[in-house]
Amino acid sequence: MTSDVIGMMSAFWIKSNTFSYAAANFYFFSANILITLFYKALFPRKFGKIFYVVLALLLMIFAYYFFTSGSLTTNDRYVPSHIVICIFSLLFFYQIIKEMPTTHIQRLPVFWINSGFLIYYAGTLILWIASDYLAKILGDGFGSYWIFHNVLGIVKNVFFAIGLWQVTPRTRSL
Amino acid sequence: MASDSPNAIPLIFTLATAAMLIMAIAIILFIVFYQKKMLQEQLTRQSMEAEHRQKMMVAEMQSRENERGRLSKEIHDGVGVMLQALRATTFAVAKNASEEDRNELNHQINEITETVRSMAYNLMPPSLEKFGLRETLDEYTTKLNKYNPGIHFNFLQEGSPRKTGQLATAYLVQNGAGIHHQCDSSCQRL
Repeated sequence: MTSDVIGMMSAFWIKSNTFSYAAANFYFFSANILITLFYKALFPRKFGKIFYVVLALLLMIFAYYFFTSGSLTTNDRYVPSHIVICIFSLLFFYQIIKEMPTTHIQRLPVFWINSGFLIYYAGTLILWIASDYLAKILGDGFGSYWIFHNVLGIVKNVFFAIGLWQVTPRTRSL
Repeated sequence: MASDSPNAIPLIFTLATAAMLIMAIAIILFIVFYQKKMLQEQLTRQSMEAEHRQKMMVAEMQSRENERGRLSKEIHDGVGVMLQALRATTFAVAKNASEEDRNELNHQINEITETVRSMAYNLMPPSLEKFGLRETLDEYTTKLNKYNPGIHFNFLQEGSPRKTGQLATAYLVQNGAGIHHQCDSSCQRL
């Protein structure tokens, strides 16, 4: 969510087209770091180093595409991070099944947050893979098709909201 | 994606929608699976707890029976022998006493001996320790028939009793028979 806010602020503040892509890059850069650190906190400490290695690899891939593509609009650099986050999410579900931390899984806030990540990143993965193609074919009409991505973003944020709602202590009526 | 034809666009959005829906269904199935597994875990935990309680109960019963056996033996072998020695000494000292006094002494010592023997028996019937539950109850039935001529007591055993809890079973039978002592017959199934 922090990365959402950062991305939104960057998009509003930097109006020119080139800098909008720069804002998007900054958004994804921060999102990758924050989400990897989020999953690092969810898994046992002994796996901590693996997360740093994965994060370093992701950033290296990102930087490689960023500096070698010659175009700021190439979206292939986002694909590896989407795959990695989907894997993190599935691994977390596996860990939940293994540890059984609570009687009612629906009351576990991270379950909702993780579900939000899975739905969003699994749904948008195909879009990111095909985004360059879509932008080329659709041209100016690309934006209307991109609504699908934004709807998934809303679904993700709804899941986050449910997760946060589960964190807040319930008050009992007398 | 190499060609510039727009034919692949519906396919892309179908795939994206399918991916999202599959994940959503997978999450729902995950919740169902989790709840089922949790229920199973709870049942297993409950059964383990019950088993543990049972084991604790058996261990407690066993240790109680052992302690009662030890006390019974100490009373029988220690106090019983001392009472016999006291009887011999008392009669030796009181050999010049009158016949009436000697009878009274004998009566009192017999009463104390009987009380001590009864205490030792109640703590752990010797037959139970030596021969087991079946013989103890058989002996008890014989006694009941002997002292209650109007009532017929019959002892039948089905299967073999467990080693632990035999004392408790013996007491249960004795107390139960006590409750029914005014009836024409006593039938208990244990």
